[in-house]
Amino acid sequence: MKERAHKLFNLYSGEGYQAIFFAILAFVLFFAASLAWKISDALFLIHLSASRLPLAYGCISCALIACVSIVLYAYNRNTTSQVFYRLLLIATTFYAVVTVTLFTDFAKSTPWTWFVLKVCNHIMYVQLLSCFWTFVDQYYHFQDAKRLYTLFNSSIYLGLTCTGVLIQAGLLGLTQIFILISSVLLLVLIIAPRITTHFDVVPDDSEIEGTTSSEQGSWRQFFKTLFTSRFTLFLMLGCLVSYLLMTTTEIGYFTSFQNYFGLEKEAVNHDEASFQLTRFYGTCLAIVGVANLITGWFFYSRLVLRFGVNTLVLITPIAFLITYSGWSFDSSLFFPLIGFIVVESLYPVIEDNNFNLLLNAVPIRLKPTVRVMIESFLEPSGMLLSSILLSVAFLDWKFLGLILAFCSLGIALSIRSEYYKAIFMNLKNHALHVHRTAREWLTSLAKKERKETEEKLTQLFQHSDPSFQKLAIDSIFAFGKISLLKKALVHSDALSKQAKIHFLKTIGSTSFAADTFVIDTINRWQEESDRELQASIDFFLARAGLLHPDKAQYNLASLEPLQKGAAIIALQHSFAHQSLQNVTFNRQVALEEMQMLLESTNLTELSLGVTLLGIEGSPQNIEILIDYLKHPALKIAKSAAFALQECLDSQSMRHAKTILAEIRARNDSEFRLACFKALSKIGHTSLVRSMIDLSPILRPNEARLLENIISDLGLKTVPVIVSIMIDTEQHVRSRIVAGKILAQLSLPQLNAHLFNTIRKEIERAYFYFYYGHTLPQEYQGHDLSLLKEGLLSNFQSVIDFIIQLLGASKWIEDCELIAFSLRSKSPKITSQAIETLELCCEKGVFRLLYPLIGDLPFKEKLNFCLKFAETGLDVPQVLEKMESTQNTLDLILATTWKYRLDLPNWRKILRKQMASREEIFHHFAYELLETE
Amino acid sequence: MNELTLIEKAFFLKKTKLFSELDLDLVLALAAKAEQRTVEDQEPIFSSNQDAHCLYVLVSGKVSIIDDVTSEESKTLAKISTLDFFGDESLFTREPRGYTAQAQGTTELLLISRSHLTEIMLECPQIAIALIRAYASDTSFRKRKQEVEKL
Repeated sequence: MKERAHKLFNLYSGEGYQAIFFAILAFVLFFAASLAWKISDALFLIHLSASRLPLAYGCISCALIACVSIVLYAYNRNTTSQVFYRLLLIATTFYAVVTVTLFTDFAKSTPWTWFVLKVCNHIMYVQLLSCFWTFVDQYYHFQDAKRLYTLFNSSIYLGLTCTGVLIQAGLLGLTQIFILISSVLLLVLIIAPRITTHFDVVPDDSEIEGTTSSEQGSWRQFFKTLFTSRFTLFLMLGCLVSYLLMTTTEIGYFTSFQNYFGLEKEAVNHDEASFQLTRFYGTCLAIVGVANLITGWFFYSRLVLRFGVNTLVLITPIAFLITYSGWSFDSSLFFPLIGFIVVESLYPVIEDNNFNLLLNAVPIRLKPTVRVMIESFLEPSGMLLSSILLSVAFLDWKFLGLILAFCSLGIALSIRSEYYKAIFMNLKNHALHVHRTAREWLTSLAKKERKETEEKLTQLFQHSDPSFQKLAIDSIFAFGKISLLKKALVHSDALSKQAKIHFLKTIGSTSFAADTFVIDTINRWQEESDRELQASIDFFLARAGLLHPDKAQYNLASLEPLQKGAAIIALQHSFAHQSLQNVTFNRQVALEEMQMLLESTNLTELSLGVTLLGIEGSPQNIEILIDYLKHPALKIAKSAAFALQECLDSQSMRHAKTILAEIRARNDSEFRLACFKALSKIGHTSLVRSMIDLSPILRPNEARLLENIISDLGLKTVPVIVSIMIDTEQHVRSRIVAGKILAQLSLPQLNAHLFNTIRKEIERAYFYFYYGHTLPQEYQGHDLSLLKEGLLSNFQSVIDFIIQLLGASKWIEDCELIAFSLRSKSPKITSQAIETLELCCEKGVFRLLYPLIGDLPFKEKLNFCLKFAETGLDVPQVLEKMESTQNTLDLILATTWKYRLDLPNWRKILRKQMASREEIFHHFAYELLETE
Repeated sequence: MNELTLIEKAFFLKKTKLFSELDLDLVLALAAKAEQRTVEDQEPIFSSNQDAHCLYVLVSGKVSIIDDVTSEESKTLAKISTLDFFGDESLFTREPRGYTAQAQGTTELLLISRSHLTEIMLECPQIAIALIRAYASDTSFRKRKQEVEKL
């Protein structure tokens, strides 16, 4: 029974209690609020007539607009829950006051009482609705919202239906109705806060803790962000047009109903006619309420899961268009009734739910403000505008409605096209863009900020803290603008010694090294009599060929290793005019000195020697450098790796194996990056497989460099890369790297293999997930925890592989972003990533994938496994199945457990497997066979 | 203080012990997501028992860390000065704030969200090491929760 109810309402197991609570809260609260609203509507019509509606709407609009700043101030100063409960308190007090007023005859003394009541009730309803949804939003993320918000919305309309039934039944008098409203609200106010403390709020990283004066500037920030989000602007505009349409249609059908019941005619019994109109209105409300309930409870969530909110957004505008197209030519009650259904049924069930879902595509920080702006500012503005438009004598409301319906459809189409981009932008705005270079960052700045940044960087040259000066130097080099460098160098005298040394070290690898302005500045620094700085200057000048050998001769005896190095370079490469004899002599001296450095036991001197070998750049140095690459000291190995970048070329293939082995052996990132750059100088396609094999041990930045290096090798690498990507024996990280490179080199090739590859992986993922969770804890006295953990770890790897591969396939624009977002600790971000995946991914693949990546309760996931995976295997069968796959990790895991459980024939099968497996498996197999 | 530019935020982050190991590319990525916040004198930056979402880096001013949870009377535990960070504990335990942080004078802060901190740690594990180092340097013996309860 419970399961059926869950299925019927699209609930997941475990979330029923919370969902039912919010559904009941929505029902009770909006039963009271809509009762007050609708009864005041009816009283208004009876005592003041429909002709006063434009004035009423005008007043409501002004009052609501005035409320915006109060509500936003309240949100800035209080938590969402506090705002909601305080509003409940205000509502309870208000209706209590109304009840007391109704007891006296004062209320009935003037018909304007009903006018005031309608205005106040409308405002109260709008504010309660807005605050209720903001309050509920705290507890659910996007994917939950798609299933559950319609349930809450339907509950709101259950309240509305009951309102209709109660009004129609005529059981309660006016005062009794308001006593009921006050009592219900009081009950909600007492009970709701106690229950909600037991529910967990979905963490939102965009939330700001505390309240401070910084929020004073938040309006500027709000509008700045708002105008960068086209989707939000379309959504707000769409809402404004919808409100215009709603009010126009509402006035239209009220006028038609009045005409139909003859309330406008003097001859008709006024009391009888108004009684019939009230009853008719109540019946219509009740029928529509029931229809809303059925659609909301059973259809909307299924429709949105099937077609997506971006399709459902078109329904209401199309319905309005049909209504006004017909209404323009037909004056019977048919089209007013259709209009009534659109306003009272389609709008609240489809449009309201759509709105709640579409709000998730609004920039996360703007969401509550945009909701308040739409509900408390645009809605009344729509009303105000429509009341002004309808007061214009020559403007026919049917014609106005038709024009608005066309506009509404146009905006809905724009929302549809912007929706995906908006969700994606939300993810992008949240994600850290770790792959961007400093140069990309700085060039991506707005013109004004870039100018400010440039100004700041030049100023930082005069900063008292050397570390700031160093950072400014790095940033200027990253900018790559000579004009900026020149501007900054004007202040170069203010640089500290350390900053100048840093400048000299870094500039060598930039394109500015040969600039005359730079050289002049550095020459000016020579006037300072600091030995350490002079050594760096000499080294720079020597590398540029500008240090004279005569000066270098003196420097050979220097205690500063760098100065000695500068001297050696100068003796070898100086551009100075010298006799042939001198050149030979100098080179001989340089060689001897270099030999001394290379034989030194001092690591700094040895490292310098190795660096000089690189600067020399001779292919003969490669052999020596390869030896130093294996040096136990990291400093030396690193210098060798950097030096190799200068010496290696396409003829150096035979050294690649050693370099690859060193990458595997050393953990240092700088060393690895330098080695990869060195390998790129060899640039041979036969290296691709070995390089990709390293992927499992690489850090993200190292893997990115590897991808770029292999991509630069071109299309000839494609066959190898494809074979790696589809090979289930390969490590998943190698396959991911292969997939990403393939996406860069040949997208059609990747897409040709994608569907089959992913299908197989999804099957594997289901298998791992199901048995990782359902295998018994113990089997024949053996604890199976490790086996289960192994299966679950394989599950995570496979899921990661699928996501990365889907991303690389350009189904998703930015695979790194989606992968990051799916791994995010914020469920709100994860749910948006899933939405992006759904929008871009092939439907069949997404349907299979969603249960594995979505935030579903465990039991639900298992139910999906029963649907999609082969279930019912016992432990030996699971191990056999793992053994039959091509995956080495699976095979190792299965064989280990077969051995532990002493299952028959494990030795025989292991020996058989050894015939076709790689070396690493042989090691494992021998070890296992020998253990016995 | 005016709004900091991206490069200024990056420089401030790079100057902290926690992010000093990041290279310029990564520190710029983090700075782009760091939110600047000004807190006036004596205003709370966050209060105890509040949900935790961010790590705070102090750019200028001073911050008092006040214990108003374990004892009835509020007690100042520490004063944080420029380029230090705070508010990290609850990000990892996922428990509410265990203390109140209050500005002493006008204070400028950079806020880094939990998910960005986690992401940058995955990208650059040296940050995790810097964090552990910071914890270890302040602790002679890491008391286990059960031991504290026993005491």
